Amino acid sequence: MLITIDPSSAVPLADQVAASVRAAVARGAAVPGDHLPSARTVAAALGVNLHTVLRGYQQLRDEGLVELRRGRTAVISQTADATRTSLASAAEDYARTARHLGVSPEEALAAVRAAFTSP
Amino acid sequence: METADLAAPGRVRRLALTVGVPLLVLVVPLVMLALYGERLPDKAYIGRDGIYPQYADDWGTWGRSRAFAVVFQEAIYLTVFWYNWRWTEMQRFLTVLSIVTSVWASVTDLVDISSLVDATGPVTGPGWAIPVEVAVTAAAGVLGWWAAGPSPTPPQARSAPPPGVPVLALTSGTRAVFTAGSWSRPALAWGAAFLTLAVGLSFLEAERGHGVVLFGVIGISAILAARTLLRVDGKGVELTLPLVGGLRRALVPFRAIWFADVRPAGANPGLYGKSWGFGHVAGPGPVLVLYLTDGRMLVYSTRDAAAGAALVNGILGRERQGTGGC
Repeated sequence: MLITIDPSSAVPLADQVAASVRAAVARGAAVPGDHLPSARTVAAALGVNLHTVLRGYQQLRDEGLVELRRGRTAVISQTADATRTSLASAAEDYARTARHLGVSPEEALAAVRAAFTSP
Repeated sequence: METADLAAPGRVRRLALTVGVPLLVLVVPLVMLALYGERLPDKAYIGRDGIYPQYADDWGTWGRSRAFAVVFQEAIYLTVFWYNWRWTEMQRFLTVLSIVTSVWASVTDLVDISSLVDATGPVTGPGWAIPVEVAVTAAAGVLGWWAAGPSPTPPQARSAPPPGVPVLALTSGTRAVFTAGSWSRPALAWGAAFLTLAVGLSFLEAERGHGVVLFGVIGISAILAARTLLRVDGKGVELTLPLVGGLRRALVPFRAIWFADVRPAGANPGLYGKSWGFGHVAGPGPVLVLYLTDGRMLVYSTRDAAAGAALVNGILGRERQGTGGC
């Protein structure tokens, strides 16, 4: 599993960790039952605080993408769906772009609907 | 990619030692029988057969079983040596293993047969036998390590990865880690085979425990080493053995890697353990391949091999363009 972070980005580090895991699930690199690297390993390798990584993993747990087990082991949950995760990941990127452009949620959604109806 | 064969210097010497020294296990008893044959009892009351004399063979049968064990051992050493034709460290290990086990068995035979001179039945070995066997074996191991020659120093890679390989675009501040875990089916199969062999040998009357211990240790080691974890981060590419307390099996620094690539699913059968590579191939899935400057490849089965290769190449590209580490 590939986890990347950019400390100079405005996106919180925990969100970046979570996004990396989502991306791995979305491209089929991580499947239900796979273990995530231990938070300690990731924190040491990336040079970030352990709790930052754990916050990222907790986000994924709240989304139902991973199960946190005893001993801080994180496992991709059986209900993780690559298609839905991929869609959610793309939607997040789109929403971030829309916010960056100063577009309202309604306008952004209207653009999506228009994209679906265009030939 | 064809790279330098760094194992070539000293390879013939290591091979000669690895397959030559086990012949002592045959030569020592033959010399002893030639010198003292007339003064030895009719049966070979050696090792276990000394404890259970009713099962002792005549010297001819005992010698044939010893010859069979030597031939078998030689076949294993030759096979493993051939598989690691370009890996100096493994050849040195094999040389020492061969010398240690052969000298151990030979010294034991020497003491046992000497004890039987002028005896009419089984005798108890002298009390000094075990300390002497241990001391001689240890000394032989040290000598063997020295005789196997030094390990070569691999060149340092300085060029960026070639075009056409996967590369992850990394900014100067990006930090990344790639992890993967794998069970090696070949390692499990080898482990099971060696354990089966050890169990089988334990039923042989002429076997006194050397083979059982040797093959048992190899079998258990292979099974414990079958599970590995791979990690790529700013320090390099690390292989660890989680079943052996996270013991590090290899840490490959980036300066020892030319570049990384991916072999697609189905392209890797037979790659594992050959002379030009090491690592863990779990099955017919895709493998991450690292081309090392020592002339070998590190291959590793992982579903996400492309991401692993892209990260390695991304770090190599960034480091070799002088923009800092990961």
